[in-house]
Amino acid sequence: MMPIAAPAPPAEIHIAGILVQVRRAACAGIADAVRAMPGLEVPSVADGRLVVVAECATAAEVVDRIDRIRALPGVLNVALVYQHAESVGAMEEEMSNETDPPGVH
Amino acid sequence: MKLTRREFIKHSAAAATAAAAGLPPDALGQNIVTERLLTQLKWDKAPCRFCGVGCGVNVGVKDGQVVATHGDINAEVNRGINCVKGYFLSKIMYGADRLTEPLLRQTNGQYDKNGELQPVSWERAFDVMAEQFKKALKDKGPTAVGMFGSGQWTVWEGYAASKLYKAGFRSNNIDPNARHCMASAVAGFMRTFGMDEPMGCYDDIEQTDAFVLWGANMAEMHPILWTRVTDRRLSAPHVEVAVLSVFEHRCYDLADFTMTFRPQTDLAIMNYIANHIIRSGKVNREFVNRNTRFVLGNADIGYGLRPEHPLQQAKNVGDPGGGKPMSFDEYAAFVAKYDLDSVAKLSNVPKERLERLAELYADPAKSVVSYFTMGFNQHTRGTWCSHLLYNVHLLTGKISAPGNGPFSLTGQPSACGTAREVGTFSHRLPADMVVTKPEHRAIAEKIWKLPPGTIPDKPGFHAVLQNRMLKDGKLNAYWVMCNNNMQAAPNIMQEAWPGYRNPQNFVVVSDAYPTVTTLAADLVLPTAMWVEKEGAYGNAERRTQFWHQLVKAPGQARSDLWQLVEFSKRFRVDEVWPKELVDQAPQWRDKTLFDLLFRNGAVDRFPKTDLARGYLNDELDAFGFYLQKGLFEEYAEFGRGHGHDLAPFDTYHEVRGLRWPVVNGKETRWRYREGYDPYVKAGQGVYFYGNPDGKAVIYALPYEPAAEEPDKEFPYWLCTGRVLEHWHSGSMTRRVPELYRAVPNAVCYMHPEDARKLGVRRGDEIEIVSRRGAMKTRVETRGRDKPPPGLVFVPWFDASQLINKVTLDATCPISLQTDFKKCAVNIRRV
Repeated sequence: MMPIAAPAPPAEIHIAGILVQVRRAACAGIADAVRAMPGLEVPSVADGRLVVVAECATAAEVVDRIDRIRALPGVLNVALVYQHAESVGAMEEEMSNETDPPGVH
Repeated sequence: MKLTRREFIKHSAAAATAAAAGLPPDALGQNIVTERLLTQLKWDKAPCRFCGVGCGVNVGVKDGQVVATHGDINAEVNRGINCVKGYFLSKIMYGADRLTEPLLRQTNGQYDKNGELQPVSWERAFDVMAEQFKKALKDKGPTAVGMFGSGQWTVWEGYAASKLYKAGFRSNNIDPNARHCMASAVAGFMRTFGMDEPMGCYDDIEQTDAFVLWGANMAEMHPILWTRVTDRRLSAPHVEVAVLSVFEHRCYDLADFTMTFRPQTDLAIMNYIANHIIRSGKVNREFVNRNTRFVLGNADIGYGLRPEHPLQQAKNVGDPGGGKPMSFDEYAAFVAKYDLDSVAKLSNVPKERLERLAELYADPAKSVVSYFTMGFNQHTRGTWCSHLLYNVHLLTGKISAPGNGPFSLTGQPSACGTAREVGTFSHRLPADMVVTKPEHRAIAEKIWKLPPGTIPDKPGFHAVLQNRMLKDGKLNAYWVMCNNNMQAAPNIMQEAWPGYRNPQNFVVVSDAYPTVTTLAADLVLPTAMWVEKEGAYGNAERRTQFWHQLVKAPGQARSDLWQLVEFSKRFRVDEVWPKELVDQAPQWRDKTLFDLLFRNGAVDRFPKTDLARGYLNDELDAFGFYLQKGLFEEYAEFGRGHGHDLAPFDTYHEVRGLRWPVVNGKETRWRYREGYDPYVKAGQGVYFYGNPDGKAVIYALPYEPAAEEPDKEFPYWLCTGRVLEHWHSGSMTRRVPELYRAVPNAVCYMHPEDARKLGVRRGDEIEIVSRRGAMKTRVETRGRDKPPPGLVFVPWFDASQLINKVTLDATCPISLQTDFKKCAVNIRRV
């Protein structure tokens, strides 16, 4: 009934920080399973919690990874903490050394 | 050390996530000053614009565009985390088909209801719109104009809309989409406690011993609160989680015990629990004697259908909210028939689980929080559901205390802050007041500086009635703002569609994106959204939260607030009001509704210089004064001094929200309890001051069947609802191509045994047919939602598969909220 356009997204890099809550007994196995998925890293694991960082080409891939994590046995909850998407060019710029952040954080 | 932005951002993501999880950052992350990344962006706080949880987010703007968000570590609600919908906060404003100019149905340059939608200027859009509104007012009076608003409106948008209709046009035909969402909770709170909204807050989560979910799929609909519940359950092994639903969903994964009950029998289950508490001697007699009274509520009240419907021939259809006082003993006798054997049989829930649940509530040593949302509210006995749950908490005194209480979760970001507190319902005024009480109208007329008798004394058309009145040609000039009601309303084919397309009617729809509703409109107005305007929302725990305008809206898109206020300039007071009323206020005779409502010496009293430095405010530029601040301060007058106190405007721009009543700068976490609530005096302990006698009402109400139950011809229950990835009708989340692909189309979740009997397999196309309409979809027998045999679940986010062609427009006769959860359907293979 309704035309829903799905335009091709421009080339971007999508970065997300994801918090995963799991049954403790399953923690190590889940961390391994997450690490095996493309684009995902697990920098911290403790107390039934996994810190996962995703780097993907599209938001679709990030959402797909979130779905795949959620489908793992023993996963109780998946929450997003951080998301950032910009063009590939902007993402590859080197950081300046400015220190005073404007605005509220 | 040189790093690219990409590397910085990855470490920031890891560090932020670890911080939110309470974990140490990774080794490299420890060496990164994450603030350095922030130098590249301008960061500000805002509440998330999706559900009613009210998470705080930090919004990163670069070159006038939102490029990043993260959970606000300083926000008490979400403590640095966000759900997957938060992922799309920044994308949601930049969909390719964003509406950027007004569109009017025209043929050869003239307005024509059967013409094509064509771009026009705002000037022309408002010219045609004003002409149509004036015609309706002239021909039939104020009841011929109306508005359908939203729980996504900011506080001041809802307030300006309500004032424009109730005071300006003198029409109470304004109702929010929150009517579909939480009207039953409102009616329940008002009738039991004399005041709307929960007594507790989210802090209950970390303090309770047990969670009971009644028709609330928190894991999908309120994921951040579910994160907190999960943390509590895993960190405190004695904590129990009980989940009740009509089908198995994701919350079952964490539950200690679950109950999949026959639809509508929640009424019987709650009466059984009350009966168990009484029979096992666990009534908190001191609390009950001091703080409650008993009322036998009217039964047999009909189902809110059109008056000629056979089900409306019920005994108490004319007085659904009535009742008479009764004693505790009479109440005990009333619930005695809800014994374990009969309720187990009726509900299909095993006896031992019913007993375990009842004992959870009865055990004086256990604190319990009950969460409810659409399963309770979208119910032809939705108000009763609220009452029966309050009964259980009141009988045991487990209420208004840390870790104890019933809690109504909300679906929209400002269903509480705007729809309920501002009172954008067809019967309400701000701060829980109603149009039917002369003393309430007098207060509103005084604050609004209007002559007595300005506000009409009859409730206007509520949501479902608006569609019926459009169809019947009685409501002719109609403005839909900030919602997608053609998709959201029940029984589309018999009521909504013929109503919108009725040649007598002119329908205006303001939205950010094309929807099914804009397709049905005669005039479409492009709308600014979220941080494209300054805003305020109120979440489910009474927390009022503000944000600044951070970016410009695209093209000609304007905020709902600008649209409402600018449109009011088109009407002279003496064109709208009758002569007798104008004679009482001759100073307004030649003035416009804009002068009367918004240049009244109150709303326009804050100058440009009050805006915090460095922020945009398009409305301030357009009107020359700080409109948002003026509206908020005038609105706040309604509630200050009697239990609805709000802090000064500027405070909210500094803090991460405050829970009202805010008295002497302090928020209130548990209402009605001495030591927490400034309105409860020393020595009172608990005092339900919403009611004149300080007592909460325990209503005796029976189990009654649903409006439509499965039979031979239509043998399945149909339940509708939301899914995690799409928020409500999907008009925004469906704009993000990535999200669209995650759950591409709605499906019909059914039990594999039902699929086998129907001769269909997963992915097969089927047709779902009711007495009202049909829709085609595909079978899903796996996945997140697992209905029992005899029940199917279909989400309603998909504009290409409108399940509301099938649903029944039955409502709770007290709250007038639709039951989207129960009707009878047949299914056939296509």
